[in-house]
Amino acid sequence: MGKINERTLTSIAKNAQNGNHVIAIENVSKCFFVYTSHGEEVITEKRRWFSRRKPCELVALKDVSLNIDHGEFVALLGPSGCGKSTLLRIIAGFEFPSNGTAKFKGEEIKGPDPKRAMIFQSERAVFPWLTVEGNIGLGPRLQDMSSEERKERVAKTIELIQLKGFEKTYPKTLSGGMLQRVAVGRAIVNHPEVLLMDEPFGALDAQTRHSLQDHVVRIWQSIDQTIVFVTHDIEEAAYLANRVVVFTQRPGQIKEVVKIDLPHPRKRTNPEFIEYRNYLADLIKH
Amino acid sequence: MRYKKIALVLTLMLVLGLISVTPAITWAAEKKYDQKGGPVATWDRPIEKGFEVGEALNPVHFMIGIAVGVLILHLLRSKFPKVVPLAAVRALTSIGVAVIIWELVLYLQLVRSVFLPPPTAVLAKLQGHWQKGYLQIHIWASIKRLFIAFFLAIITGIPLGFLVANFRRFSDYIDPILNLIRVVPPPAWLPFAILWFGIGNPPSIYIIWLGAFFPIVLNTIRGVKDTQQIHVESMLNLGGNKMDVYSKVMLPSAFPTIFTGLRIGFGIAWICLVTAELVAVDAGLGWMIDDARTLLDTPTILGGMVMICMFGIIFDTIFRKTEKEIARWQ
Repeated sequence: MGKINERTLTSIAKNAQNGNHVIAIENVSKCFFVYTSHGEEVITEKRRWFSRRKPCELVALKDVSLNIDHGEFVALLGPSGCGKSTLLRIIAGFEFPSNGTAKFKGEEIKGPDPKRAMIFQSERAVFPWLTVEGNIGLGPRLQDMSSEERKERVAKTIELIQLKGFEKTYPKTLSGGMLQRVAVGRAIVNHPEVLLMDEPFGALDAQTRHSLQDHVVRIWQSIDQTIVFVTHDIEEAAYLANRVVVFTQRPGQIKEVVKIDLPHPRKRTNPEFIEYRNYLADLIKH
Repeated sequence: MRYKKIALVLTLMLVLGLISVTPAITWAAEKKYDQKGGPVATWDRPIEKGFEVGEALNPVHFMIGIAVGVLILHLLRSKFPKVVPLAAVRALTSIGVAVIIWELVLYLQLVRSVFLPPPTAVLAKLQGHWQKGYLQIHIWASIKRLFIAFFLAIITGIPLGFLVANFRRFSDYIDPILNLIRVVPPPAWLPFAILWFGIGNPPSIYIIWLGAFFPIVLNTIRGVKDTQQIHVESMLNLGGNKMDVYSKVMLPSAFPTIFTGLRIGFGIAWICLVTAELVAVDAGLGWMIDDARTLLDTPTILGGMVMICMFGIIFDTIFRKTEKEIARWQ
């Protein structure tokens, strides 16, 4: 089925040598403790006094195992509420698995790390009190980089996200798409090893979303990077990823991992692409 | 850049506070002592000509002058609509008309001047006080007190607000006490303030501090708690530690709310100032009003009120400009 991406081949070969995955997730489960009026698994001893709402355990992820290699573009696809964002937050280090282990380059993930840069769902993650330049330069500044190197990196990044001329602008005056590009720039300026994206283009209109998707592909091709991308948009997953991990309904389990062997840049009208898309759509439905 | 500005403002406050504490620069009248060693009157009360009205300005000239001034303003507005803002013209017109009506009512003797002295009398009185150096003493005493107390309120209120907003246990213990003290109007503390701190500046500073403290604390708590989780997570993800989260996320994010707290606090401090000065001190605009009350020197009373009003507006404007300058991202 089509040509295998060269980059994927080389990266697979590279990883076969040292036998190391960038991200290794083994049997991860995640439970949240919530108070709801319609919980299934009620824990009676933790019930609150005078409260009609029942404490219950919400299983977001159940026995998920997944290995991600260097240079891969992986999309986590599933219906909303299936725990795909939770998995991403576990990889980022904001949440910890209730069971199982999540490892980054052989070491257990203990907290947030600039090497695993996160791009959030909402463009409001950009700090409104800093200019575009300030937002992008913040990461290097926190790592005590010399000012010349920092300036150079920031300038390069701004060029990459095509926001030249907006260096001194405050986020208030930028559009949603531009803000999301600032968020991307803020993440990639640190040269992270893994880029985690949590439905970053969900809130944008179709046109902006398409252009930003091309942006991401370009960035992925220009810097040697691993990307994990959470989405509920089937077409987006098929358009971007090398590997699509399809989740079931809650509790989230991996239903199937679909490899997409289409070279970038992809065309939405390509019959093979449409075939992949329909296959993924069928998977999600059943 | 922005943190430097905040530091600048705080340093300014500190310098002002220090200046006002230094006795060498205090030009409140030096105490005079009689032979027995006890203090006599700190300054000469300007009681002569206390009740005379309109000694400096002719009321008719005054009214015509203001009317002409308003007309000129409107003329300027129509000639240069880009230079003269409409809102300012309207505001000055409304004030001018009110002053003319006020003067007119007294000129036609519809009201007795003891009950409401005319603007001309108030101005004449203020001018007389200024020439004698009497007015400056009181203004300076009030502002000094206000700045010390407000500065204390800032350096205690903002850190406490940060602690309460960030540490659950701390807030659980501190919050009830704060809420208990908060509901007591600061002037109710006056007797105890005098008992504890004696006569002079400290009790009134305590009262003013109390007035300014709570709005600052509550707004800091609100602002810090309203910090968006996504911003905190972004900062951690970019490699920031906890201190970075406090100083580079929570502080700027809460800044507008904190600044609103400062403005409200300043307003309440200003109210408390006048109240606190009615007792236990011997200088200040509040004292001047109270002293004039004992002499039924109504122009001085109104003059004091005018000064309070003027300085209130000046400080509020400074506050708003500073906020705009610092929070340029809004």
